[in-house]
Amino acid sequence: MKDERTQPMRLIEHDAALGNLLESLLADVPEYERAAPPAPPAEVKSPEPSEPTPQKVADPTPSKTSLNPASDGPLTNDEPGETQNRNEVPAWAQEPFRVLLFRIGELRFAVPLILMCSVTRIPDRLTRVPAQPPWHLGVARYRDESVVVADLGLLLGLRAPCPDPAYLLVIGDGCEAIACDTVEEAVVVTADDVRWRRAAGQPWLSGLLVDHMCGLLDAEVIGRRIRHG
Amino acid sequence: MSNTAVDSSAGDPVIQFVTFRLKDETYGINVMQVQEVLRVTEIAPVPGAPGFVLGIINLRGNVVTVIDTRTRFGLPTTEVDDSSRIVIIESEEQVVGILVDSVAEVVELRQSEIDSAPNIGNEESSRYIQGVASRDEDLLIVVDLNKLLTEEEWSEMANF
Repeated sequence: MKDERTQPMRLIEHDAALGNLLESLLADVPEYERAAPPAPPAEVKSPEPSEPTPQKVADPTPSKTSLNPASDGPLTNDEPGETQNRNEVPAWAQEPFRVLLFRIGELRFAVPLILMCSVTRIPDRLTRVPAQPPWHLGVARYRDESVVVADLGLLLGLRAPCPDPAYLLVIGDGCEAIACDTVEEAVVVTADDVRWRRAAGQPWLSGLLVDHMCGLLDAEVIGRRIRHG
Repeated sequence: MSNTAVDSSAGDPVIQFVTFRLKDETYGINVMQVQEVLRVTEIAPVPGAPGFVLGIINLRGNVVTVIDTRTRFGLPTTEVDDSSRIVIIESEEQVVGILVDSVAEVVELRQSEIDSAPNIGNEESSRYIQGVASRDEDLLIVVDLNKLLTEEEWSEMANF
């Protein structure tokens, strides 16, 4: 126990460290979490509490993690759908739903299949368009669509580029894709298996898939981010 | 090279593009803006010119500024070889040359085939990318020559 206190980060297993990371990405204001469940839905719309409680609404900016999604700022509040409080379970998660588990380097993610278009092997060659941001890996032709392929780690400012892109996870309406190294499996989960993101967490993260210790991505937000750069 | 709109049926004109290669990609520019294609001759450097200007050439008594297209597109530069060409274009009422790795062919595309794919051309630095179009198992990157340079840069070019 003493050793753990003296060298906490070194001794933590990788999965546990990843769990901590995802937890911190999900982190929001504890006071808000406790206050939220009994509140009626209308309360969400009123940003100003009736009493001055300065600790309640803490700084929503991320984040205490080494991944530091520093570039999230511009789109966090501009995109419709990204500003909503996510302590509500999405409509598609009211019933058990399937998620696809995949890896980008050491990071493991899940994406709901209902928000995906398809999975395919990355083509031999992507068309590189000049003067695009670093996350823009190129354009692939897939099912008669020009699909913009994004490096998720760079797109989200995670500083964890995809080391060996092998698959494309085509999301949304089929015009955007995430490159990943490994596609693992599709599993069925329920809303109770997810610790849903609340309040001012990362908008691209729907929640934490507890049993699998991985982030559940919001493919709609990521698709918008790819579309708008 | 006399007529760009071969067929304008249903408001979806067919446009001819001259295609050229830069690094590993194929680009297309509207044939109506292309005057001629030259083998690379002596390019005289111009002191104080912007970085994307290679220099000037003498084209039948006229001085034509040559743009290093690779530099402009943020691509690594390469040595001129037998395939290299200078494409003489007219844009923003100026005649300039663009150095390319090679010139391929003239292709016809319908306007609707040019897909302004997400995030292509959104960035200020890539506003000259009009979109992409599918072409024989490959993608053609369509360039809007009028946006190749900013207004300020076009004005600057006029001074050479």
